[in-house]
Amino acid sequence: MIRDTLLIIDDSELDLAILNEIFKGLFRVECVAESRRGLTYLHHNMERVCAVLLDICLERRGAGFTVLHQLQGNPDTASLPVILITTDANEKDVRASVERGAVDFLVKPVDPHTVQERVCSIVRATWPPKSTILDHKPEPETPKAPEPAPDLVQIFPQGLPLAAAQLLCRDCTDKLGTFYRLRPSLDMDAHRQLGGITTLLAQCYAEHFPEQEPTQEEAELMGLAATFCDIGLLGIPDHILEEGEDQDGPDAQLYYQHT
Amino acid sequence: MQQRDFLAQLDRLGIHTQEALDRFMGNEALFLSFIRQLPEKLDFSGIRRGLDEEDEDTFYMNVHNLKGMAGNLSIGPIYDCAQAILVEFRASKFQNKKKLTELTREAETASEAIAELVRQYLAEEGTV
Repeated sequence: MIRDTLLIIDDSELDLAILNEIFKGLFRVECVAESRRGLTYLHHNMERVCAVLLDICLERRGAGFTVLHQLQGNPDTASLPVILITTDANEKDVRASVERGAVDFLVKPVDPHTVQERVCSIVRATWPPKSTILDHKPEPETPKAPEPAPDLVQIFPQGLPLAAAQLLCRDCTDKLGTFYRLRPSLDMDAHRQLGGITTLLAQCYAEHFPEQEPTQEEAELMGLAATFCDIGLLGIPDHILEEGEDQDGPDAQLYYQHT
Repeated sequence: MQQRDFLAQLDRLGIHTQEALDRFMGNEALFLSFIRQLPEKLDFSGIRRGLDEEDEDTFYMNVHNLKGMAGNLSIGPIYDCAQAILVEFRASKFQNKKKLTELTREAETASEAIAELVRQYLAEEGTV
């Protein structure tokens, strides 16, 4: 399971609101105002939590240290990085934080970008690569404006590995198959066969002429690409497509433009 | 009062609104939701009670909370007063009560001006 959660324990609604805004783009943020709820949450979600941000003055002075002590004393949570939050960076509290096992402390009012960097740095240093959400960018919550459709050079850039091309081809073929099912005059099986035949011919050529292009890998790529020949037919209205080659005028022009 | 004017007037009273908005990651609505609460939250009764009764925990926690709120919302004058109170209190507890009282009064004066502005804005908004 990917660790994706930042647990924040702070009895200030304002602190929680700010920290949630700062970190919600990076983590799944869980805000709790009471230490007991925080410990309960940890008990049930230990594998998801990347780090804990803990207010030193939870309801009373120094109460955060009590919670820190409980976390450190429990083998299940002892390895969890705990970052203390304080309003006062006085020497006594800082020293106490370090001695009691906190990995860092943040001083309020926080600077958003500084605390983002520090918390992310701690999370990356604590957990193995690829095991936290920081290495797996989440889908954006708010929809973005659609990007312009990439052209074929972007879809199939030079040097695309065969494995990646096969995956891409499989996805595109599935989508193409869906479109073709809605167009009775189009036959997806014929396209698949065309791709297969192209692959065989290209591979045969590569085998007999190894010093020349294409290579075996390129031959397979050619076959994958051949599946999508005449994909332009999807851009033609049904009535023109059904008429086929035997038509005149602008409809014929449109037909041949896409085939 | 337009929202822009309101933010400008907050700036004139010592609130660094742009700095606070940066802290809220640009979420102006969220920032203003907390500003709207200021007339209620800028309550000095706990601080005065702690000072009068020389109750260390009550006094400290109330000033601490005031400082935290002022810091988060970038209310400069109140933050500075609260910080000065805490420094004095850590050094000498209630020995210099006169200074603690003066600093508290200074913070309270700044608070009253801000609370009045917010009430005025809320009244015009129709949300009081």
